[in-house]
Amino acid sequence: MSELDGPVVSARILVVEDNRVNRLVLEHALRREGYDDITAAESAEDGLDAMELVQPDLVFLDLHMPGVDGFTFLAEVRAAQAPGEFLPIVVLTADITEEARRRALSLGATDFLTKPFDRVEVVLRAKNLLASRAAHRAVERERDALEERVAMRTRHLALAQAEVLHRFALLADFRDDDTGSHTRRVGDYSASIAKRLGLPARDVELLRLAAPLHDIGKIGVRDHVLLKPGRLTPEEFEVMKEHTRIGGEMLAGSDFPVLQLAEQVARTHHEWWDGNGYTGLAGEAIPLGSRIVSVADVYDALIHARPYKEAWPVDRALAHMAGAAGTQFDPDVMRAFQAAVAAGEIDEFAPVTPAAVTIPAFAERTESALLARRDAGAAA
Amino acid sequence: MPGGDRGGIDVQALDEATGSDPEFMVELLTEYIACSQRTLEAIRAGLAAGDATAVLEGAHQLKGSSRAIGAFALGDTLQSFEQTARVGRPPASLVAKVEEAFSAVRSHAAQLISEAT
Repeated sequence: MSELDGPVVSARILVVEDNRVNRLVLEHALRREGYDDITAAESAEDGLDAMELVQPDLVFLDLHMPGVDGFTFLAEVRAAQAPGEFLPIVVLTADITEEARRRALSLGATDFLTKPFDRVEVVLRAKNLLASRAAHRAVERERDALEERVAMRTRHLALAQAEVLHRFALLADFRDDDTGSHTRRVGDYSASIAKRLGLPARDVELLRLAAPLHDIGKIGVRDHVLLKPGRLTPEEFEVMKEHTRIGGEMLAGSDFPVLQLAEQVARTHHEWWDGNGYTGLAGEAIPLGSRIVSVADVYDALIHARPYKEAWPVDRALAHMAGAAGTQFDPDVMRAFQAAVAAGEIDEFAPVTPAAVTIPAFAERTESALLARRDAGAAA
Repeated sequence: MPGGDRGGIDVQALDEATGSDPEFMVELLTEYIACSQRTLEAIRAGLAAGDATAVLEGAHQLKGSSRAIGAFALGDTLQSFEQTARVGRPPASLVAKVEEAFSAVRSHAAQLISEAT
């Protein structure tokens, strides 16, 4: 049985007609053709209730009824209908004026049927309109399926991208003799600070994904410098500083907001608020993302052991950092960080945000970035 | 009038409306008589009480049902009645005409029912 035959005979039909004799004739004609899911309503009020309950595929509607009339019924049904849905409403008329006919059409009548009914005409109208509805529905289903597929593909691409970013961040982490959780923690701390600063949710999530790449340039730093236990000589320190430039170059030139942010962070996360950092950039000339990551990175480094130092107790780390507000750190960012710590939002023992949480948010962001790029391309 | 019966029911039209289904014809005529008697009562009460809306609604209702079963003469009489009632109180002669046409339809319907059962 084809798509068009199947659902048609099983269609739900609603007859809104106050005249019982007319209704019986209409129902009898339809039932004989196999349409047996028919609901009758004796008034427009009952008809409107039935619309909800029955969800009909086809409506036969009398215009002249005591109380609420057919015109009101038409207007209400059309207003409540899903956009794009094809719901045929056949208006039953006896002696309709041209004006009433136009009014019914403008309110959304699909067709007219003259009373007393011609049974053959009733059945043919029903058949044709139900076939049209079935065809509309088939097209709608096809369109929904396509949209679903496009959304899945897009999401899949974004997930792949997020995963590659994450694994990329791990490169530097493992080189640095860590287990890969430092980068994730810096991402989470940075997101908590950004949230405290009142940044929009999408920027918070973007930073959560970009921040872990801050030290990616370390894979370009030689082992005897990177892994040296103890203090670096001034020459070695100059080599170490190169990781911000290398990281920036690795990430430069992307069209994706997350990589653009990651590049900024990689280049400038060692700048100091007072200008005494790697390149001398100062104050608000340092991108906000970098000022945030700078705090998150230092805090996590202090409270964990490194080849050249023991892990500091949290209180000592916090006291030390508070003393650096206004010199090394942006005071506003420090205040947001302290508030986040006080509120328990920065917890080194908290499990790192699982990819399952951050990735969909990132996927959505990437999806809209892709769409924006496509639209910009189309407009150009 | 093909199949007409002295202003009662056009049997050919009735046959078409019922899809030549004698059982349905009996059901439809039975319903018609029951509904119409109630409607006629409402019209009479409306006339007595001077309730123009009730009179108009009733006449419209009865006209529709009558035409649906092929009682065209009654339908036409009701149409004039309705038009008159819309502008004022219908004269007693017109009321009598409606009553007369209805009883012709009712006896014809009763006859058709007894023939079919």
